Amino acid sequence: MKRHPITGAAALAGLWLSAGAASACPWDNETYHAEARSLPCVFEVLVGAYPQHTEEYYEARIYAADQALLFAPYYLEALDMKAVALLKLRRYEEARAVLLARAAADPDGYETHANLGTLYTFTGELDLALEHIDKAMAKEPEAHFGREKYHRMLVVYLKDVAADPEVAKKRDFLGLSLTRAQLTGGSKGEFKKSGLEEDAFDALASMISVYGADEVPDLYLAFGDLLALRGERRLAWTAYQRVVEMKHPRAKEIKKWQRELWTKIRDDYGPGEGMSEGLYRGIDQAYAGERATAKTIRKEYAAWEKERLAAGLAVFRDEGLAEIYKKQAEVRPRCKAPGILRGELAGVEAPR
Amino acid sequence: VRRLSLFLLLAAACAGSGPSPAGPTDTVEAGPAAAAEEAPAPAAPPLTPAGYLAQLEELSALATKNKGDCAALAAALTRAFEERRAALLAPDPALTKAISGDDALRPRMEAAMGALMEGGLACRDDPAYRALAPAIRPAAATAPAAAPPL
Repeated sequence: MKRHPITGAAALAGLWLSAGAASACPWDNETYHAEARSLPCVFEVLVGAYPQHTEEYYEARIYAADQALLFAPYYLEALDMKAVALLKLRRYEEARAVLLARAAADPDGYETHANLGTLYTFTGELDLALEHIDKAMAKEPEAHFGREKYHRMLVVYLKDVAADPEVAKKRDFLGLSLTRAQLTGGSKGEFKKSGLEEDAFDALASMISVYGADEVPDLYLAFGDLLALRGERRLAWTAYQRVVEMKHPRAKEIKKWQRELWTKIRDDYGPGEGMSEGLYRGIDQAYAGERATAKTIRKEYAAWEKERLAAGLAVFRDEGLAEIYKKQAEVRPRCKAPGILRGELAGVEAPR
Repeated sequence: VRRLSLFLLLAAACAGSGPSPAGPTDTVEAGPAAAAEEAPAPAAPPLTPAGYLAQLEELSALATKNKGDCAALAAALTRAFEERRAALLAPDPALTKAISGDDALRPRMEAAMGALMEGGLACRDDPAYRALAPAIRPAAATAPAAAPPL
């Protein structure tokens, strides 16, 4: 799959945005299947151990949409399906044409503005993105299961970073700048005091796992900060590891944070606490193992998806999408949404 | 339906207007020549959402009827599209919006479009079917030149 181009304001935001774009909240008939009731669990999101659609899947969605648009060129559901698939394939100019057709047919529709907001985020046209996100949120304030507001925060952050790259070294896109005490002493109480909401975890998981922003280090940094603040130190360490691997400008500083977290984790999970040795002996070893597993999971799922597509799986129908998400949950269990961090598969909680 | 389609084509040719907004029906018995000779056909009223949907449903019925025979499906759809060209080539965008917002029409639209998608997907590799799109829409124009103002 192509990488995001560095475009417009996103390019100005800094080279660490080499993935070039941010996550966003597109909307089509897959959205409910992908996000409404479940999402990949936080740990799976962080290590990439969740199934991803193949290029063939998106091509099939585009082709199916075209069969409807041939006869009904303004059929909104097909326009959404095609536009979102094109966005996933990074074919932005084609997506733009489709979304402008949608805007002609439904100028005030929530989906029109949500999807245009997404397009312009990906292309780095951040002012336009904000205008459309605001339109979408005005239409439906709790849009996209309440996650659209995080999309907005990200775009505002990218604009701020474009104006002053130093911003990226001071805070994450959620506005967090953790103190040492917050980093290693986070808890549910600390999280609550911050004023942030639990749906932030769902939003970040969606952005990374559903919308293809899995190469954007700023999202993992925000994830790490959120998790540390909430006292999920093992998960925070894992998120920060991705930030370091992606060479975020704060990587050096974050490596130090990881060492401090690891010290605290060992204190929490020392031998004799009923935890298996592997959990306290080396989080980096466990991480490496899970990253390898992630590749296997994706490969196996891709083979299944291609086989089903070849057999004519109706990727445009609810039944087809239900089959896909049933398979994805079989490949790797998903966590119930909203509130994925509270899911029983979300990770091992440190003793309190 | 074929008799009526012929009538519609002739009427359109003579009067410069498209087919009836409600689409072809089996109940029309008037001969095309008589209709044309008596008086020029009045300009067709704007298509209603239900009328537009009815035409699409007729196309989707062809996808169901010709399941498994891609060449027949391509031929049938080409013919049916030509018969409804005036209504289908550049429809009013508001029609689909109205259908989407109507609880009674929306499921019918989904069913019709689903049948066309399914038929098309099944014939994806068939040369006759692949020739359908360029034949009926040589310059696929699904997008306007510019976005509407915010």
